[in-house]
Amino acid sequence: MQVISKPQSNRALARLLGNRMAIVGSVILLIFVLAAVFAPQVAPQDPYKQDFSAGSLPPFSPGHLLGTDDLGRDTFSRLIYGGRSSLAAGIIVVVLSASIGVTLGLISGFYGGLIDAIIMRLVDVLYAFPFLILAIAVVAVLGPGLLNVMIVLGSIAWIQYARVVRAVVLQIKVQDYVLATRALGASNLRIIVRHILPNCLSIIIVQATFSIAAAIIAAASLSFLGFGAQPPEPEWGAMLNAAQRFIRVNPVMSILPGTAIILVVIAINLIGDALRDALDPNTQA
Amino acid sequence: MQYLFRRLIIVPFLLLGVATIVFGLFQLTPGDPLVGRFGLQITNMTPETVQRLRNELGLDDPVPVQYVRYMSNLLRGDLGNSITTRAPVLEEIMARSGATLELALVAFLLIVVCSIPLGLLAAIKRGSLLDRFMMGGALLGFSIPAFWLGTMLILLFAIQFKVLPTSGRGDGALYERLQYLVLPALTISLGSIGFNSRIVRSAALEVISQAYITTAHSKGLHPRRVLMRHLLPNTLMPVVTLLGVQFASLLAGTAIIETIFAWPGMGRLAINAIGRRDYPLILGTTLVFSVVYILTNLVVDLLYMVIDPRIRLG
Repeated sequence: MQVISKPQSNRALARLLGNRMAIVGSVILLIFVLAAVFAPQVAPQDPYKQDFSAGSLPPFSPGHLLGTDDLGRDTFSRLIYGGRSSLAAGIIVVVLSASIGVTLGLISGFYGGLIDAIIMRLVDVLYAFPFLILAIAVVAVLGPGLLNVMIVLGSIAWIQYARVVRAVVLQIKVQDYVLATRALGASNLRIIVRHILPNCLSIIIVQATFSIAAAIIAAASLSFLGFGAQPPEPEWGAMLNAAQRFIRVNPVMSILPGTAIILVVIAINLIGDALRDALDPNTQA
Repeated sequence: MQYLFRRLIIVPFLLLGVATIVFGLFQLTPGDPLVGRFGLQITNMTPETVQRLRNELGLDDPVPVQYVRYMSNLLRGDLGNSITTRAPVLEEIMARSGATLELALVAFLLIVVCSIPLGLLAAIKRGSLLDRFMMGGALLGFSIPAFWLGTMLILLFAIQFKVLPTSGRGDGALYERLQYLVLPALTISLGSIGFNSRIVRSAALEVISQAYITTAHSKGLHPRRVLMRHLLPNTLMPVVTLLGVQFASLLAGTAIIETIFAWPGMGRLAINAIGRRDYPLILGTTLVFSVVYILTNLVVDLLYMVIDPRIRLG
């Protein structure tokens, strides 16, 4: 466990930059992020524009780099816009779950007692559900839609942060320097924000990175089942759902969105691996 | 013994918590439960009949009363009736449990048989081309969404090469049934094989760095004996818990794969129920999945206690 003070974070950065796989991952991710952010500028066509005279074109057709789907919509453009939904889903789920989980984990670990018991029992119960099944059930009750999927995933996935953060807090709050700050008259809030939270940061960052990848897959899975993004919205999981019916005649429709998901997820996992090694040298395998 | 006690005492509370959340979801369910129960018949009923039915079913009772009734029904194994088939939910689920269990067992077997040797090999040949290749494959394995992998395997083996059936569950001879099992089982297990080989590898690397392994080597033991007697058992300890948790999630988490391969298991039942807004069936399967998940995890913990003396005695 370590504080990310300045020289330490520089060392972590140096380790990170020395990791070739991390660079590869970052470049891939950067390309996807830029394409998603600047989708209106990058995409050659309107992702919703149908053209029945140009349906199911193969890749490298004139005017359609990656071909078209059954309705004649440009696949390349839809993939670029789809990245917006998928990346946004990953980030929103993680921001939501991390803020809930870190807050509850800090409270639980720091104050202990009844509030700790209540929060941790809730965590236990939510852990007792198979993750995706619970998510599917709640989305079924709330109704389909990408926003609902993000809210549901975020409000379940916080439990992992709560557990991890609580464990770190329990170790740190008994350290001498924390007791010393308390003796100097620091408030609880100040101790938590200035002394305990920074010590949890490295573990939170690593966890959050892997979670983005997991959230992207989970959101795409739910969209694939038809519970997330709804047609005609371009989203990778939803595109795969639509492509299923054409697997025999136009398999490219199935291959491309999946490839996009894999590239992004691998890129994020590579960065996550590197971050873990850089921030916590002890776990290096 | 204290560990066993602690572990057992928490299970009823988990079950109660899970059931409470499912009950809460029931309360949030949109639409009138009467319509769900009687369908369009309800439009032909007089308001008096409707009210009598509401009273009989206790739909106007205060929520706490409904909660107690729901819980006591659960204790008697009554999860309500499916809206679409009118059959008891538990019956519907049990009818599908065999297919899910079969698929989960085969996938689990694949995971165990592949990931342990692969991870060990990568650890022993650390840094070699083989190690890097396998770790790259592992990363790929758990970065591929299972539902897409399933689609690609169908595309490749069922549509392109036509060597395996696309979907369904064979009911003929063993050989035919195995043919139907291959693709879904492979789809489920590949990701876990990738993930597990990485875990086995790092567990093995930890063991290899221990002094007793060096000692075993330096006293002239045959490398194979070091592997079988010292490396393997100590590597497997942390892996066993992981495998157990994975088996639990295999039983509960094959819904997507079952849907892709039209495998007639519990997961597909749940997903189809969502399409028909069959809420008793949706929430019933959710509940059953969670109970199976909790109990499997409990069994795994108990097994772990049997094999690891540090927990048994500690």
